[in-house]
Amino acid sequence: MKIWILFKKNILEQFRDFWPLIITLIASPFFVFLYWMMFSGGMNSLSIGIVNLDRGFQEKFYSREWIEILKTQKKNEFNVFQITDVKDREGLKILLKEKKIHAGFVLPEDFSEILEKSKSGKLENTIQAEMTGDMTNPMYLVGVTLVILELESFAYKIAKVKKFIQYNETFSGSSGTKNDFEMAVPGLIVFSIIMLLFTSTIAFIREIEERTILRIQLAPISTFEYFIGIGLAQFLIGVVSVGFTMGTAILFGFKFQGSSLGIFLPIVLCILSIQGTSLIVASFCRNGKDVLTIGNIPLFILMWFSGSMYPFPKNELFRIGEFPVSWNDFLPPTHAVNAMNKVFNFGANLNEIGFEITALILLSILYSGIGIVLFQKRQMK
Amino acid sequence: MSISKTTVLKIENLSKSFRDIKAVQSINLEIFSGELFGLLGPNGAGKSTLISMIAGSLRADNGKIFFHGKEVATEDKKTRQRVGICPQSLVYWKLLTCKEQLVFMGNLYGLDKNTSESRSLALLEQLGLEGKKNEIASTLSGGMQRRLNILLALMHDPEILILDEPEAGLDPQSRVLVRDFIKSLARKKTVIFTTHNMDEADRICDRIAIIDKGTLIAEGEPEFLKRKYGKGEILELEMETAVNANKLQTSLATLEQTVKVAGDRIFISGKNIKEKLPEILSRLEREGILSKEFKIRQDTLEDIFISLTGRSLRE
Repeated sequence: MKIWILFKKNILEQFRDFWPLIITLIASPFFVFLYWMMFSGGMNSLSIGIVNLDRGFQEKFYSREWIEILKTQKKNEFNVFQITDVKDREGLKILLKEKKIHAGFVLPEDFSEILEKSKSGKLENTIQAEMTGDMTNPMYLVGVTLVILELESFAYKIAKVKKFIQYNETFSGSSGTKNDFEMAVPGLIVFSIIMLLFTSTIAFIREIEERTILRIQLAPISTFEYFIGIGLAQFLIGVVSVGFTMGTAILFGFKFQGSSLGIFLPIVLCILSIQGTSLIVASFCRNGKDVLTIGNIPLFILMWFSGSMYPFPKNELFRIGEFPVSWNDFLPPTHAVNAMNKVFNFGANLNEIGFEITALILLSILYSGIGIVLFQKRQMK
Repeated sequence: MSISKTTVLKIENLSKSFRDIKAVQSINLEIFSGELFGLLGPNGAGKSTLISMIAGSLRADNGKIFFHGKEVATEDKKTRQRVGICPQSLVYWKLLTCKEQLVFMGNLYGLDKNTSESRSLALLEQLGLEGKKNEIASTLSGGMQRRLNILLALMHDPEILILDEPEAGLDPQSRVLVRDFIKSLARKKTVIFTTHNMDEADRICDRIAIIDKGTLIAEGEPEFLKRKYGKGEILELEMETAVNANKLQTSLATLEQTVKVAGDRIFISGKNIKEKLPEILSRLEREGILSKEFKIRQDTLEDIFISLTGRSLRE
């Protein structure tokens, strides 16, 4: 009952102190939108890498002619293609891995020969072209489609024969992997939880700042009820924030996969651990202004070093069984990001994220424990 | 209604220090059911520390507190529920409306929704805030916020109400409202309040305790204190220029009066001042001390305080 009363009061206060709430709720959806703009939005040039193995035929090099045509293709004064001449297939792989090109093509040794011979109308053989790239990258799909159209058109002009080019398609890396935008979404969902640090810390510090903690302390309410009452309201905000982020991601084409419990459990545990972190931060703050300044330090650390915004390298400190542990593993969101990535990108089930769940439980208990002790000692004495 | 003389609160040898500062030193007090008890003292006298210990928000270093004869520990929230405290500083939820926070307080103390609602409305009406019940507290005027601060202490209907400087920062209109409200609580509740306003305390308190430097220096009904510690009448003279206190003492020495000089004002106290007035004025004139204005009045609590502590309440 007392928890419910505190919960209601905190929800009410949270909605009236709406700026931190708005920042918490919209920051992550904003980044989803930003990443979509950065990685999935329209681009003027398609980067195509071409390995030209054509040895020519009777001093004719049709492949070179075609590549020149590609290079000069323009739309609205922009080059449609940005062609990179690549030495061999290995070079193509490297460029694709480094995401320097959207698609790669390999023209065979007999490219000119088959075209020349086809001029007589006698089709002896087909051109075996190769194309490669990340299938899940929309730019790859657009790139290969346009290149094939150009190639078919060019071949028809020369040989007046249709459909005599065959394409062997291979996919770079793990073809089932997502594009950059989709790869970023699991981290951004965790980021939406990290942003809870502000509202949560402000909620805890508000009673101290307004000195209403005196009335709470004198009232027949236990410290446990006090923390749960505030925590529950913030938990709800965390869930809404995650919901907003997921909704925005879906709006921009993100598709969910993996087990529901595998998604839900890391989210819940991460929210709890962030509340523990908030209590630690609140222990060192006196007012809302302090939260916005002091709170930026843990926010920055959690944002960037947990891998929620950008993949962060793992420098192994020691091992627990088969699991390498690096210093950023002591940040709860790191495990939430890892768990979400495994679930969303590899369809992992609950068993496969067991290490992350265990780490999140332990870190949530540790952070909350430290937070409660510090807060009581420093603010509720 | 008269005071029952039933001891509701008893304090024994209560002490509290903050590092080297002895905020409260071995204070003994007994407060009766239904009385209006005033704690008087200058800033830093130890009043707020004393009431914080009574309310349970501060742990005493030594001493005991008894409610109805039963010793109560700082952690004993159940017994402490009998106390409602209105702190000197404004303590309310800035983002809640007046009614919302009163209902919240009621609920925290276990009142059901309907009781909380009706009680909050009744209290708001009593302190003239019924028209502001749905206003966010931070948008109220300073006086209204002070009134709300008092109501928050009363929401759970405590037996003992502690008001720390309830009139501080109040506009005249609010002051009258609060004063009448406190008077209306008398006999129904035991009210302990701290104040700087000696006249106010004199008028409404049943009993008074004067505290200075953490020590209880006098206690009793206002009239009793004035009789015991007062010097009778006081002649207060406003001078045209500052006066040399030593010179004045010498010229009035044989009249057996107590003389105190404060800037351009002279306070001469003692018995039969009225009869001695012509002689006093004549001696002052001989010394070249000319007064602009003078008045004779009875001892006030402030005079008592000055005579007991050697300094004014506002110092």
